[in-house]
Amino acid sequence: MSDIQERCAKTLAAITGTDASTIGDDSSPDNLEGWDSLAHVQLILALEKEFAVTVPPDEGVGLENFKMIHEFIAARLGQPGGVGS
Amino acid sequence: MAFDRLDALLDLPVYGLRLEERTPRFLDALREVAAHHYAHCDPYRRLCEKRGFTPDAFRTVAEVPYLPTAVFKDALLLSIPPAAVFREIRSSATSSGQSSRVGIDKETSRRQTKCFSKVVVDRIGRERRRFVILDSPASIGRSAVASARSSTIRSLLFCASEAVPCMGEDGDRLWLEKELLDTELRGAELRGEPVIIFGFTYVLYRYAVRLLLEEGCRYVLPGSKVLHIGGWKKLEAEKVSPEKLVEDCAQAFGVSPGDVVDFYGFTEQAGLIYPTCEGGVRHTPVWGEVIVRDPVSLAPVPVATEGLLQFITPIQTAYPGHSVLTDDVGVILGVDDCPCGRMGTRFRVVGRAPRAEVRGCGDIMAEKIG
Repeated sequence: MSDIQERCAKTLAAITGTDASTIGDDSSPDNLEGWDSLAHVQLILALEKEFAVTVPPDEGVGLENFKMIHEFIAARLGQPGGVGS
Repeated sequence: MAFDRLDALLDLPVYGLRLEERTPRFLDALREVAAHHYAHCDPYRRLCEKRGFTPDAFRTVAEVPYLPTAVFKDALLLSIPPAAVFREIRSSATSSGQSSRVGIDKETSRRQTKCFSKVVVDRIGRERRRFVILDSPASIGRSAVASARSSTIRSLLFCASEAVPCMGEDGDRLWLEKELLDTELRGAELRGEPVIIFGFTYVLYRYAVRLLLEEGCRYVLPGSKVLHIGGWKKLEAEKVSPEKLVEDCAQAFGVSPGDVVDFYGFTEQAGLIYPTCEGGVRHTPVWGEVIVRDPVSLAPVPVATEGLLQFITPIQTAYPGHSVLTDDVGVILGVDDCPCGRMGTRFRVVGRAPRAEVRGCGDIMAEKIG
């Protein structure tokens, strides 16, 4: 896992009360206990703070799994691994 | 199952296409979804057969058979295997104790969220705002069974930077936490920071706006928005018209009347929401259409004539909720001609049909605590 992926996983784990090591690209609200709509809002806000980035509300709603999340953050930070990088 | 035309429709600008541009795309998506329901939901297919309707042959939305909302109280209709249902949405129980039920799969849920968030962002903007919730802290908390009320509030929080509930609740008793509200709103005034004030229509008015006006308490919050959702029955009984509500909210919170936004929606087409625009009317998004029908003959009526509202949308693929006749009375005012600049059919919701029951989260709350 890259540094961004690890920090994203740690943030998600803290909010959902899960073990960060169990989080992978396919993790999503469909299969990760505790990742409900409220947790998703908290996650987006926490990621904004963690990475000092802005996630527009409608784009945050569209981040449907862990892979989309860390790729979005990487793209925002202009790092390799981001969508379109 | 892939719904390519539907997915393409949802990527279009919400209110950006004129009638002649959006109609072919809308009908393509609707045919795709109507064919899916016809193939996978036996009761719906029988209804279509009875009405001589085949999903690949219709040319206008008015030809698509509608289901009255009462049908959703009687049965859980599905166009997917029951095992694929991951959430059942129930409307607030009505005075007869019956609520509508719809079962959704993950795909429909995602589509609902996408449509809902696009409409909300169009109306309140892309910037996260502090949400002042005129409801109790329990309304944004987690519980094993989410009520329609807390689900509604939580669904809006995707555009919140923080949510501050400003009411107390103890059993059937609800009260405004005046000091907390005052701290929040005075703070926003000082910072010059626009906020979002949200409440269920009756509760917002009865427990906050009226009280603030009676006590001569006023705020100045330019750019802030007051969002409300819920039934009007209780306010009608207290002779509060929609115009008075807007006027009083604007006065109490010091916002522009165009920034008082009334959200309309119903369980049978969850995910579709129709906020009032700056001019106080509603618009269909690119993925929705509305027809007004005569309450007796049920034939479509011309523009500017009141009747029962029928809503058509292809976004629900889990159940045949793509064409629903409601108990709500409304009127179409025009098409693609609103001064606010939004395209779409411009309409107004006038109220409930006379025999319709009191319902809606706001009304149910009003019955509980009023």
